Amino acid sequence: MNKPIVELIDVDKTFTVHHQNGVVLSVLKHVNLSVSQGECLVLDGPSGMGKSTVLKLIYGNYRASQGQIVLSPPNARAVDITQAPPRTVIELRHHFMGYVSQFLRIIPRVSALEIVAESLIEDQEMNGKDRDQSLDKAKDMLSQLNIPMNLWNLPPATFSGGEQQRINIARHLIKRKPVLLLDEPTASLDKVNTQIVVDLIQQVLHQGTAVIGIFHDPVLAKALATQRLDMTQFREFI
Amino acid sequence: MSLISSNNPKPLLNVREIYKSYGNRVAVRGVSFELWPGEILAVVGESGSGKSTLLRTLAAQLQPDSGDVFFTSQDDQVLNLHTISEATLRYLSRTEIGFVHQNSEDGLRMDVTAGANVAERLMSLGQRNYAKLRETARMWLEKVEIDPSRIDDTPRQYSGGMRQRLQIARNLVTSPTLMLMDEPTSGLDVSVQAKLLDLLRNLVKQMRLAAIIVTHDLSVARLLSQRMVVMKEGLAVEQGLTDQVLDDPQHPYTQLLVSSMLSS
Repeated sequence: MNKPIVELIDVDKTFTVHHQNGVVLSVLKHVNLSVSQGECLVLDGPSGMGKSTVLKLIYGNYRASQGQIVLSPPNARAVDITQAPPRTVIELRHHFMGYVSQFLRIIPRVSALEIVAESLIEDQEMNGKDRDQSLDKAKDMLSQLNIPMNLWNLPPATFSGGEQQRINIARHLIKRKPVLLLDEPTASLDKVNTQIVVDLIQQVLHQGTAVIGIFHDPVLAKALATQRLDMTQFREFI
Repeated sequence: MSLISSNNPKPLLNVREIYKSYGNRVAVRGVSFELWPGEILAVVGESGSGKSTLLRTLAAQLQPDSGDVFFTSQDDQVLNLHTISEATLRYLSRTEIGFVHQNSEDGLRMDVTAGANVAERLMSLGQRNYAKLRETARMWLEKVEIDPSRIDDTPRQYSGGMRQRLQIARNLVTSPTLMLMDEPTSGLDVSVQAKLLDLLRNLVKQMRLAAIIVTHDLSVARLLSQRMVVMKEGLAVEQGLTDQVLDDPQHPYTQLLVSSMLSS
């Protein structure tokens, strides 16, 4: 049995909205899950069940109200991300886990190619040769994902939703990380491009990456999942 | 994989319990944080929240009523910026620490040429070779996207956006490890602001700079910083990862700020 690489132990998430008379929204209660290398855990359930919230808690974007979220990077000590200082979270995001959200966050004036290459460029010394290699790799990713070459040097602000989504996938899949969090990565893609993305996800799974994903398409979810989790069980109805 | 956070045993800046008041009015009430090499920290809050006072205290332009600011210099000494000699402080402020003012007129010499503005820090360190200084100045103007043919113009002949970029070049010429910036993009047109932000983003990455940027603009903080401190009435009411503070704000004031944002 493989040691889990991501493990949630009794995690609760509530939001306190101070400007609505301090109303407390309970979104998740007693979440337990674990994923190991090469596994794909699919989170199931209708919207509003806290599927995206789980991904954001693991990524350290949301703060858990209760419980532990233990990340076990290969060759390093396990970290409970709910207790980790900011710079540890930054480092974990850099080397250990990627998170593909539904929308690309656009940075003014930065081209598609540079956005995709960013994580590789950050890793290197600033010499021209390394930079060119990173850009070449980004070009490979963009062609694999069917982004027309005439768009590569443009900032993605004017791209279609599907194109932006593929840029977002490319930028997170370009550097291999042990954990990949996917929030409906194919929501605005057509059939052909969806298949390309599915193939890429299969590929990282074979390489040993652990994936936790939300997929709106049941066929896709079935094709990728090695385990599934019904999120309705963590909802406390008031 | 080099995990975790062990390669930098000392923070670049260690700020401990800073208090500063003006007469009866307390401007900063016990703010503490650490800044690590290469990190960008945004200090946000409305005007009057004490964020600029805090920044000027960090630069030792203001003496705090109590509290300490420890800076790790390039030769790995930990220096208390408020107790070191004036000469040492002056030296650091010309080499390892940069300061970008909100109002460019406070950070530039308005009546000398752009080239001389950029070269000033180098000259104060004893560089005298005119041709070399000019070449360096020209290179820095290019880096901050100012046409080098404008090297002999004074900042008075520059637009607001160009002046801010000139201020940045003037600071970066000595390769500092820390940049302190007070609202560097306020008062600029949106398109000019985007250019400046993009430039800052690239420069801090290339030079592995650490920076503290004071801003009231949460989208500037989102774009540039990894960490954030939210100030209200002199208190740091919330701090943490930038996306965590903006997406899951805990303090009532931060929630109010975030919900007032036009879009994130």
